[in-house]
Amino acid sequence: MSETQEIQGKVKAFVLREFLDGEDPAALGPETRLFTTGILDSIATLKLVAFLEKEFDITIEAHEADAQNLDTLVDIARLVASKR
Amino acid sequence: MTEAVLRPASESGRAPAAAVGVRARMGAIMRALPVLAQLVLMALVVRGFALESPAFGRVFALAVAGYALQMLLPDGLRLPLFAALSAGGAVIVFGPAQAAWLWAVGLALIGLAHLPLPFGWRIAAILVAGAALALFRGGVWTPPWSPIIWPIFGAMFMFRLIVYLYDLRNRAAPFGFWRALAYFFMLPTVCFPLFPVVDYKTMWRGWTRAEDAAPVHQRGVEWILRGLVQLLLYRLVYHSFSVDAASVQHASQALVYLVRPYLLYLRICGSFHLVIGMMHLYGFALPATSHNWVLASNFTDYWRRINIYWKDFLQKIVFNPVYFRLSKRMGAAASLAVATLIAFFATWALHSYQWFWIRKAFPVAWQDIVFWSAMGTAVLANMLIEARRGRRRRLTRPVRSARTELGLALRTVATCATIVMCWAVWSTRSLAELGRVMSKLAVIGPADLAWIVAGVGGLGLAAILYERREQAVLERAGTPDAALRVGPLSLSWGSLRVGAAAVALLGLVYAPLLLYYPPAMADVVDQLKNPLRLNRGDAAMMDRGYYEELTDVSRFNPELAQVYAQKPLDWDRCWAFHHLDTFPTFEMLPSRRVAFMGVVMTTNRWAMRDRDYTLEKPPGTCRIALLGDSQAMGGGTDDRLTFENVAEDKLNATPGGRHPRYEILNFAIAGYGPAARRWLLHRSVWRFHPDVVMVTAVDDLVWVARETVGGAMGRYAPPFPAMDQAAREAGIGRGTPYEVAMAKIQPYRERVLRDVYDGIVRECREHGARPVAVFIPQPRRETPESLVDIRRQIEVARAAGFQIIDLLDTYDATADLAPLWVAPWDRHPNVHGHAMLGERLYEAIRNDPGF
Repeated sequence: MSETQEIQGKVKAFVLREFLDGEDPAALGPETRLFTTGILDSIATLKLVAFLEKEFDITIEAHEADAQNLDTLVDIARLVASKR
Repeated sequence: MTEAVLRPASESGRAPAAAVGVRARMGAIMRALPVLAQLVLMALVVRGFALESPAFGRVFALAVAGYALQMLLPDGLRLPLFAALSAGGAVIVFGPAQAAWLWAVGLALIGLAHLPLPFGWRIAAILVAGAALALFRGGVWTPPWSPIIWPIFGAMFMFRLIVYLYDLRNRAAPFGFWRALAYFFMLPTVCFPLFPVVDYKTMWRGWTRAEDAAPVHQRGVEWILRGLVQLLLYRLVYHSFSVDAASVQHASQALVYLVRPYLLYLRICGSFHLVIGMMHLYGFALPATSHNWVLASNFTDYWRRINIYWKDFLQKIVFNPVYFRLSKRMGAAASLAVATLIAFFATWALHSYQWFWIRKAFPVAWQDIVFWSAMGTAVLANMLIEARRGRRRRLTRPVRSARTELGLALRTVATCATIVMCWAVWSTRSLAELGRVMSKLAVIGPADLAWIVAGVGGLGLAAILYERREQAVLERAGTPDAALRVGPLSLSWGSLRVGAAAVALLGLVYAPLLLYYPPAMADVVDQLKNPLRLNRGDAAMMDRGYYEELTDVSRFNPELAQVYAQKPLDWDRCWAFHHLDTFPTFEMLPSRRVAFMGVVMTTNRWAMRDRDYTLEKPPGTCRIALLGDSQAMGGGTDDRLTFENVAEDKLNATPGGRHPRYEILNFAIAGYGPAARRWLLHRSVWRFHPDVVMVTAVDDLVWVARETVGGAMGRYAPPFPAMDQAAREAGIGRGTPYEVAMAKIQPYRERVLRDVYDGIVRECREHGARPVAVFIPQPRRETPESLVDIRRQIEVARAAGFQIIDLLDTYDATADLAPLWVAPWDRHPNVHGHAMLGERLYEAIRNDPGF
């Protein structure tokens, strides 16, 4: 499993657990848009950022917590990978 | 520019030339042609309904022409073309000289942001420049440019510069010369100063290459149509939901009064859609805003929907930096609370900051503080609940039960009701006025109940249907780029839908040329087509503002503000008036020649706005003393052409009268109500020995209420005991807010008017003069309520002993009354109106055996 896939897996598990309890895991793909679909609103974004910082031991700046970096699992994995 | 970075191929504005073959370009042109056809229809709709402003009509036409030109240009010239169009828009709106100033000052600010200095130094330089501009804006220094460019300059730079510097510091997006011009000077801004916030990073993230942009263009056209429809709905709401606080008597009227300010947001919403739609035409796929805000089901939801641009701006510049800094030291909940409260405080402060650049005022109104505090508290509570309990999110369509549907409907209605109340507080003139209106919510009849049930039920049902549709849309949008995936079939369906709607709107504009509309429908169409037509409340305020200086129309009254904006500052100032410390607070000066209401006004040696007369009545003359208000005085009309002069001249020029000669002495003074006329009659008229005292009247029930309230509020000692008595019985004191006092005096005004009329008639009989009340109309369509008032007033006058001359139908055969107005902002009759009145007065006198 590549680093990116590992990150995506952990983030997907977090998103399903925190925000999509009871939803079909298969419905959340790597390219599913989290902002557009309303899964990530401002509070959920803050929770996700806290999770990413703790889980991957990275620091995410305020200006990075937006749709460009967090819209899909692929975007998130790219951001995390760039900081490790 | 030194910050040119991050230039992915799809965002560079310069696709590889080899990749763009002739075939691809032809394909893009073919896909753009239906969009162009729809845009032409839209331009006709904008023109037909005179939407927004004449300048917007021209700028929109420029945008359509630019779109056609864009189709023919290579990709690399799209941004220069957009910048050129933006410059052209500024020239259209301001003229070349002021447009050059706008661009020069703007370019200087952008240049400061890119100086080859450390970032902190650049910020310092911009702050110094900003302070200098603020001194210019505040009037401390005089700038070399016209003040007219300030609102647009403010819209372009007051927030965008903050966002730009933030992204520049974080290198969060690609930068470049053309990108900076496109961002700050974007074409639609020249017409919409209330759309100042656009996120730089989001703008360039959504920028689309020309050959991929057809779906973006189509979406832009659809949003433009949505904006146009919302602006038309706004006009309907503006006219249909007009209710004066003083006239609210039962629950449904109170609800209309409360809901109206909230629905007037349609205008902002419509203009936002126009701006964003126009940006889409040039490939900028900006996010949607004001997305079904009435259907928000909680406060956080409302905050996200109402203005996503402002919410994202605050989140980026204020909320996130505060939260990220605090969350390292405090808990998440505490950081959330502090960051939210600071964000709402910033919203309030920036609201006033925005007002400073747009209107040169820095308002600190209690309504703003209450509104933003309430909104901040509600959103914070909602956020804390969501953060604690979480919010149910779905990837697939949920199973909906009657219980979930009912819950959604109730939440939506409750949210809407609370926000409506916040908006009502935000827009009210006084809490006492609002309290009086609220008390009428308890006065519920069957009709009120039916309206309330229909409104609440309709809103709940709309929320349920909308949620279902939204879920289906989100399911489709969950996959990448689904939102932009528009195939040929759906593109043509969208084109047809937009085209059909535009044709239907055009039919509404032009069908009256071919078809007969019933009067009621014709009136609605006229409301939609006529941008300068005021609703009843604003028209009353315009008439009232003339005398009572109630002209603070900027907060929630854009129509009236628009009309007033054309009005010269000294329009109402009459240098022939002399201030008095007692009732009626001013009088006319003799032998003056002054400018007043756009014409030269002359007073004779007796302080009448009239030609000269001898004190002694010439033998064989029927002398008529005319008492009245601004209409009778002839405000805005040439000295010789006031209606009484027209009638007098014709009486003397036409043989066959009962008297060899007639004189009509014009004692009328603008701003004099019935009590003031009675005062003037006693003080100035009798030494001229008139045979007839003619009192003009039309709004005397309103006038006498104002005169009574003015005395009760301490502006002068009440001139007649009946006025003082009525004010006492009504419970009006010096501290009573004006609107509340006017509502309280309603039941007493007929009694006071009768007392004033009795006094006039009594004095006339004592001096052997015949009292005549002449009812002359203003060139306006009376409302059913004012018609009832006028009829009551005629009865009061008749009962007091006046002979009645009713000229109220003078303008009935005139379809369009606007050409009879002195000016768009002043509905006194002009010379044509006075000629019609003069003719009717002549006929009335000539046909009356008593004269």
